[in-house]
Amino acid sequence: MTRVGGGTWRPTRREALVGGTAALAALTAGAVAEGAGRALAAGDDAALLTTLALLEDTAVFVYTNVAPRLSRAPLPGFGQPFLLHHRQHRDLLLAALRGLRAPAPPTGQPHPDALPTAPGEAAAVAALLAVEGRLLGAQYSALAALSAQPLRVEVASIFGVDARHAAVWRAASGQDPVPASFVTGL
Amino acid sequence: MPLPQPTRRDVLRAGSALTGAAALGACGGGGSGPAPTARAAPTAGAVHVLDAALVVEHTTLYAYARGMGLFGSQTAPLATAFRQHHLDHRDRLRSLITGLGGTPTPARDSYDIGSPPSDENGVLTLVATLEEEATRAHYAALRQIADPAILQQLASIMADEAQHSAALRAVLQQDPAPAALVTA
Repeated sequence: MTRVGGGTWRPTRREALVGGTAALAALTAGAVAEGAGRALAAGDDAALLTTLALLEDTAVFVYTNVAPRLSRAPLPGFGQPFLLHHRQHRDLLLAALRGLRAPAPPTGQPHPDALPTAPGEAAAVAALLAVEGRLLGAQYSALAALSAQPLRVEVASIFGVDARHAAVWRAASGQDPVPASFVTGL
Repeated sequence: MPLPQPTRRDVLRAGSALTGAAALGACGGGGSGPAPTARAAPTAGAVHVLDAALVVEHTTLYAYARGMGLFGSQTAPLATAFRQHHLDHRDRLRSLITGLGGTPTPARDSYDIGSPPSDENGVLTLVATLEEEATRAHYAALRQIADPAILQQLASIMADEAQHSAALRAVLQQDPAPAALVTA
């Protein structure tokens, strides 16, 4: 960070990108869609959008398979609408990729590693929170790494909604729904 | 002559009214030019946008302070935490503005938050509404910011307000995520 004249604070883009690189690298170690871990660099907008689209596609897969396990009111009422949000996010990102004349990644693929191995609602909620957390980390990183302003704004619009999802699943698992002053997903 | 006190509507309108500021210098456009440095030339547009976001924080903090005694034992911890988050947002925005060479607008003694709440449901409804409006205002503001690092900071604050809104709406038994996208 940069401190100027007695404590003012401003992140450099490099600092933002360093955090982003760490987050994106972490994604490759987790249960994410194939192709999401390709090498990324600041300004490689197509690669960044591909990563985000594949993560949204992973979320669609997880919600589709896990939401039926939700039974405690009001949780069942959240599964389907949140699934629809992620489908819309994925489709918006794929449309943005088309706008860049970049190839669309394969979607609709199974991602069994992202599913919980344990049965029951608690494991389902944990899986949903995990996939939302990975999304938030990647989106936060992409906000500083995307070179085109309209793409940053579009990702920010998605970021705000996925943050809401995460708050819901945190509360459902007995955690503080908003544990920090700044959402970074890290 | 003292400036007239802004109403809540004025504050929330500020973000969209600043749309034209996007055309100002480095504040406008994106493009794939060189990454901005920590001390890129300050732009009046970016300072203005961040200052409008700061006033939103002042307003929300005022509402929490006014209503803090009305929260019940179950919701008081949430309110206390969220108020602290807003203090952190205020300080971060002040710092960003100062870092760009601007002067942050100080908090006023009072803000127009409509009819003061008189019970817990009233204060929950008020702050839930303000959090939702703050989310939209910050989103409107970040659309005017060209510097990716600053946009990232503002988005981080916006998403936190969105989480506050979701948590409060859940308490009020409202849909915590009523739309797929944040809009202005």
